Amino acid sequence: MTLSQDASLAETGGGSAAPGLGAHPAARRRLRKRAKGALNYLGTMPFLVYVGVFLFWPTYLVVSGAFQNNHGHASLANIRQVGTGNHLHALWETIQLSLGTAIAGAILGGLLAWAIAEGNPNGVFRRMLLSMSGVLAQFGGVMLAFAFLATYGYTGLVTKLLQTAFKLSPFSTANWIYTLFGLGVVYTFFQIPLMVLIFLPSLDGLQPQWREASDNLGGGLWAYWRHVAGPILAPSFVGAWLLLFVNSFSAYATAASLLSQGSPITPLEIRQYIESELSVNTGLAKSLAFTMVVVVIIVMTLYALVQRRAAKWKVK
Amino acid sequence: MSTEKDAAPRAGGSDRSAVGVQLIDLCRSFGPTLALNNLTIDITPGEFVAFLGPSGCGKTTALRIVAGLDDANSGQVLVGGKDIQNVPASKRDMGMVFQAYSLFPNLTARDNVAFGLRMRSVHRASRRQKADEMLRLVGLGAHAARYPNQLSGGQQQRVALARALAIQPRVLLLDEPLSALDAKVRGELRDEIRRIHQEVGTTTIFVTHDQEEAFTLADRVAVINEGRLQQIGPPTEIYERPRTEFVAEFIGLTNRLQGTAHDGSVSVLDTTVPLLEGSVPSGEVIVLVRPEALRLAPGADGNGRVVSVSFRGSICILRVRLITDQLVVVQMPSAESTQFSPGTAVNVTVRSVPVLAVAAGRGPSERPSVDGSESAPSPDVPEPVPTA
Amino acid sequence: MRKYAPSGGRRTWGRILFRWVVLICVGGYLLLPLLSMAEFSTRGAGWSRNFDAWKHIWTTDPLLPGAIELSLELAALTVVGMLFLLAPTMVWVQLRAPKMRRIVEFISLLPLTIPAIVIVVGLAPVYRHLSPLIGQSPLVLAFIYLVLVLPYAFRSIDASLRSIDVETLAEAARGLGASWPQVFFRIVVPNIRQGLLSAAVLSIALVLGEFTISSLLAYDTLQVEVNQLGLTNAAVSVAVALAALVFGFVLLFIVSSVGGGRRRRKQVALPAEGGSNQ
Repeated sequence: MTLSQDASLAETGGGSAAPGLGAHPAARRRLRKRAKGALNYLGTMPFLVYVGVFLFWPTYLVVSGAFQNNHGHASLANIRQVGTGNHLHALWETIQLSLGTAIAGAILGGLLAWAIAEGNPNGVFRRMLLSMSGVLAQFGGVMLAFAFLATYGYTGLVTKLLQTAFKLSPFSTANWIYTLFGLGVVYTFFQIPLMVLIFLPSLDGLQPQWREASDNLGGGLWAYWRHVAGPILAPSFVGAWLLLFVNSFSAYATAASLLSQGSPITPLEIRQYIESELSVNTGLAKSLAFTMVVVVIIVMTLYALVQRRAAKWKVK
Repeated sequence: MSTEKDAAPRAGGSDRSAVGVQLIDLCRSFGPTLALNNLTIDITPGEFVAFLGPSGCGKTTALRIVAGLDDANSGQVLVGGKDIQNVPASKRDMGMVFQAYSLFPNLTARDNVAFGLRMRSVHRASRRQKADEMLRLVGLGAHAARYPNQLSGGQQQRVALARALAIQPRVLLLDEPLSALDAKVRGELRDEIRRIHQEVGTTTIFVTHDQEEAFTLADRVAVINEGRLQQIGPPTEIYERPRTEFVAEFIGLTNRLQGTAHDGSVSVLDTTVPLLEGSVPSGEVIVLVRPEALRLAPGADGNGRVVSVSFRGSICILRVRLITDQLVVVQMPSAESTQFSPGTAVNVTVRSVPVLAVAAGRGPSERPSVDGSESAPSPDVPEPVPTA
Repeated sequence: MRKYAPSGGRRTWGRILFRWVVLICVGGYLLLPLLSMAEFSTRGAGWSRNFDAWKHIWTTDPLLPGAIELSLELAALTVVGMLFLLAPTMVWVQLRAPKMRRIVEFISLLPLTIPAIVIVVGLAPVYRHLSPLIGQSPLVLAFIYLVLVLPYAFRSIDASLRSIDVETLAEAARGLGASWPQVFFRIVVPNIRQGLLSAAVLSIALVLGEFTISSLLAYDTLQVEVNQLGLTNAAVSVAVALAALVFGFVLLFIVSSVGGGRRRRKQVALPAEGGSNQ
């Protein structure tokens, strides 16, 4: 018997011994049981209310605000603006940036994850690498922006080394770090560790017996990867890649720190229309935010689809 | 123990002639641990040999070396007379069934079974046909399109077996394939394996820690401990004529009784019985006696008293405490046991069957030793072979 | 050395070499900025080392200590909220409302789909409306931070909850006369300690690294202040950033070592998915 029913069943046992107290003891029992069931759902109320206030309400404001003009009346003006000129360009730049860093992160992070999976599963080395990945993936774009500047910036270590040791100044137009490409390079500093964190469990899940069985049946390295490991890892890899895309697309702190002015990408545009005293436009900000949500929802739907296709044969 | 297996004719059904396997002086160490210590075993073509031993005895290591999944530090492995040490695992033409998890989860049962054929560039149509045939052989013809996660443990192992057989291997290797299954499924699959071996006739090596499995399935059982071969022979020989203390104690139940040996026989419990080959020939010894080799007769002036009687169906297990304070285990047909109950005074003697005597270094243990045996004595204790 | 590696492949020299090449190249690429930060923040004349920046971390910027303190307080509040709202709710759902589990899980994963930059746009009016109730101090950020940590905290606690048989434990405790609070604090919590600890560490990491919402709502948290500092005093700001990264690394490493428990290859050491902090 489940806990939610134990009390009501106890009631059932005792109810029959006291006729006359209530006209219909059976009906009272049913009522009690339903009350008990309702009470169970009530227990989740605090959480739901909290999330309703601090997650759904702001989101609702954004979505509804996107479809209003700046005076609060229903209008598609702001939405349509997103589709024009600068904004569309910024959106496209953001998508390109996300695609590029997702691919770079997926490939390099995937390789790194493989290299980690090869080692002792309980070793110190692995724990260190994972802790490092956790820090870099979680800890804040501002720090990474600074790290990037300290390395490749005008007075960065690599820049200095190249100048003094090799007399090379490929970074003399130090402005490269402020371009989309530079932004992409910084982004890899958290995309690669993120890939490691997301993808490593899948690599760990590769049973040694699969490779052994494959070899035993006559397959080599290529056969194993082509028929077994590849197909098994593919859904997780694609899923991770999609998550990397979303992560990059939603990223703000790194760009905001690196580019204290200018808005080449959508998140920074939102900043402009909230913060800047000259061009504040909350309606447009909301529309831009809404656009971002739409893109993310599309990608997450793809993610869910990929997961579902693999669920057919996934090891439980 | 059934003797059906011995009666069945050896099937030479496969169109490839079976090959023999020789393990010669295999040594393998992992760091400081010596897993294999000059292991030498000779397997004749078409034979079904069980590697039996406790965990860590090296039986799986030996199997993996034969399969090519591991390398020996020294020694040779000959298959069909040829040294295969330098042949990579993928070219050894052996079928292996692992303990668990070995089916490719992204392939259906059919595609799993056909995998080996695909590696051998067999055309799709014939692959499919052969795979279906193999699945029918193991009783899973209807499940060909299922994925492993839709199959039960027993079904998965059947598919694994079909997969190993589909390539018509020269040697079939089974690494404790039944250990992860529950008892009923284990029994069914055991019979399947035996049936298939009779039908197909491939040389087979079966690794297990379960005596019953080994005895039921194998033509010969190789008892291995600490990387060395203790004894190899048909199950009856292993059981009745153990050659080392380990074998005597690992297989079945054993009583350790004090005795005095000389001249090829030993005096124990006031009875004189012949000694088995490998025994300590003279002096004070420990005699290893099977429960069914002990005889009980009621008698007030006997050397023991019954402590407990345990009914097991066709046989009864009685525990008797001797006047030396030692506890012994006696086994007899249930019909004979009715005269005994806890407290009955009895006289314990030994039947005149050959026994193994070992050095009296260790004192007689308080309980009959069942140490070393992985599997607890099963309810169906192996039927005693009628003594001559 | 075994012929087949734990990951199942054959251990050939080529494979080992390739592994180390990858580790050195990719790992090095990631480590390089950290080394650069160390170098940059200790730069003296020519190539000598000057530790002034590090010595002055606390004193250079008058706002920095306050910002660090604020962030730490926010982290503590978030962890408290996680422990007293999220964890009890999850346990409650597991024990008494199992059908709600999918809903709670879905909600917990939403903050990954609704990025911080989007939430913050709609957040200002919400805070305005609530200010009579919750005030206007920077600590109100904790409310939204708890939402941001939901995905990571949920996965951590969920993994722990699923690894123990909560229902049976609770039934046994109830049968022996325990009340629900007692069941939660004395039975469930000690057994999901690992998940709670993991969730707490991730929450702290996230809060200390949070920039988007605090900067756009104009609160002076650690990241906001460090960013400001970067505009004026590069060396000190880099030193602070490096110190924070090292601190985070040590924290995560200790937790992963203390973690213990099932350390097989299938174990997930740290939950996945990255931050709203990027």
